[in-house]
Amino acid sequence: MSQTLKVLRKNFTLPQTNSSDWKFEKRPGGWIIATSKEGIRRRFVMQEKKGKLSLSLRGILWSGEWIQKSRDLGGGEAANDLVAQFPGKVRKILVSLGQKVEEGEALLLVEAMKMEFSVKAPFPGFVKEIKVKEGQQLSPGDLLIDLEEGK
Amino acid sequence: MTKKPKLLVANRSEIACRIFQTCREMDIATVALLAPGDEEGRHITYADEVQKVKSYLDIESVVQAALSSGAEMIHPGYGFLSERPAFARSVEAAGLTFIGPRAETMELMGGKIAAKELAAREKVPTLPWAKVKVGEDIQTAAKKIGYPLLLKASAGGGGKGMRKVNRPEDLLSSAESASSEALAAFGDGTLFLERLVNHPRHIEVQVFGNGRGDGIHLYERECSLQRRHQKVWEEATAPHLPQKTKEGLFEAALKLVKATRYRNAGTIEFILDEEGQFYFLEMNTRLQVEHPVTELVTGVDLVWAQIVQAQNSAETVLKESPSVRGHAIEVRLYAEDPAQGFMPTPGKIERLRWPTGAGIRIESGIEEGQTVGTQFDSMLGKLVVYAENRNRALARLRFALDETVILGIGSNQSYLQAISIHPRVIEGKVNTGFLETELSAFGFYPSEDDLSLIGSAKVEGWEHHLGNELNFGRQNQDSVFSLSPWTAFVRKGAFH
Repeated sequence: MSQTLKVLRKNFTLPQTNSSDWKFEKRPGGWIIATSKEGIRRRFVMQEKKGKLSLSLRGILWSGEWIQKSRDLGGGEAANDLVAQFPGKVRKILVSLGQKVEEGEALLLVEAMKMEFSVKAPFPGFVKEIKVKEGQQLSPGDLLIDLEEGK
Repeated sequence: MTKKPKLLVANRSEIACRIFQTCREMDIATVALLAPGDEEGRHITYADEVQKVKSYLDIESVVQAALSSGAEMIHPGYGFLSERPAFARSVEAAGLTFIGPRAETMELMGGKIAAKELAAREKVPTLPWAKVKVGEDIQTAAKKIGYPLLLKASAGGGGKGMRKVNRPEDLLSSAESASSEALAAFGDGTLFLERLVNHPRHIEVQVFGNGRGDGIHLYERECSLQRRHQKVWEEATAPHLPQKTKEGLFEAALKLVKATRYRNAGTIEFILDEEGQFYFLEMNTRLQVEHPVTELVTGVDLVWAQIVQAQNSAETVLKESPSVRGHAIEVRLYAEDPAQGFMPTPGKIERLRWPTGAGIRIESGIEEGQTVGTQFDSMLGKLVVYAENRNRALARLRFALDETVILGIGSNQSYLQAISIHPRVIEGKVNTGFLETELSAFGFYPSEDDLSLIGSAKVEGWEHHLGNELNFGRQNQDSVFSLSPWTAFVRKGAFH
């Protein structure tokens, strides 16, 4: 699946990359070094909080938000990003590691403001990693589940 | 044992920290002011003592804070109360030392018209001008001055009540609106007319007086790169300025120092027309934001000189102009988004890394984790570089801007980078209209390489988002540019 990057109202399609294109290394001081296949080394600092991301590379600040393509799932329930949208608590995890899920299938229940919300799968796939535990307090932006797309 | 001297800074943020540094070096105890809403201010962390005030503009409570803390000196910094004669008077009436000029000097030089009259008496060139009271015959006055002309509020500053008039038929309506704006802003609708100079350069001379008629100059600064009358980039010394012009500027500046028996540090601002003729603009009776560039090329610590002069009024601290060496550039980092009309970008600073290295001086007003509000000035800090010549200083500035990391809030950092690579800036041929005309719209776009890096950045949780649409640039708090302005500039011709 291709990714779109929007800069100053202009769309850029990110090239298809695989994990061997750039190697990343964390350095003391918060620096991240990216080394390309050709051996070009680039240095940046990145910050991700509450689903918002900013990155500084050679003094240029990039910032923005990752937005999932399928927005219309879940209706009035918790927003479908697999990221906590508001402070709350994990009430129940409904899936297990490696489980195949259908689009729209409930993955976990979140409690907030004395109400219960279900977080649903935005696309069909496999549960790659469960990032939270039952009873855990959530802050906006916390990652809940890593879902790998596939049928 | 004698008591350690104590100094209160009637200011905040970076300038307060700047003054604290010299105080520490001089073994002077420091007192910071804290006004509501500024609890996270950097200067609060760095002071030996903190006094709460209702507002940084509240003369009575500021003087009271100094008395309560036992400080015997007050440094006003710039802005706030620094050029208010009433403040200087209250400080001295309380038996404290005001680090700056006399209240009478501020009064005299603070009135645009009185200052121009003084300059004219001293044979310092001024632009043709006339003062016009409401209801007086403005047409005749305008005819004498000639078009295009500028209408200014006589009591004003900061561009309020200012109008550019190109043709006689626009004069009356412009005068009406300028006057009512001036009345609303300053309580005085008096206007004055002044010949408008096309494409002027802003050149100012740093001066320092002993208060008894003697003084020196510390060379000039060029501050032509301004946005809405606010400086964003300053240099010492000014590029491409003939020696003869410089000498004329210094001589004119010193005439005014003598005439006012100027005490302490001050700046005399001039504009330079396209023929190289200079005209007196105004005098700033305080330490300037851009004083570091002068300090770097002269080696003089101006704050040190200010304090020593104030402590020893019978002495002459700076007896002769120092020599000047190398070139310095300062840029101001503001919490504003150049991509969205320079909208303020308040918020929490999540990550902060100032550059370090040879010839780099940082005047920081922020800390990592601090929340920048909208209540105070949006300047985050100043980045100042020094090198043996202007080209090396420009290269050093680009390096320093590249190395600066501010995450969490947007800033004008990329705008400053854009300025630093502009051919006309590199040439040193700019004027006060340059930023509005040449850099009002600019954009950087990512290179293939940048896109590839973003596409595969999979550290720190990025992988969770792969396959989603990456929508950069919608955030109203942050500005968005490419990762590589250098290549973008060459490829896309980012400047129009």
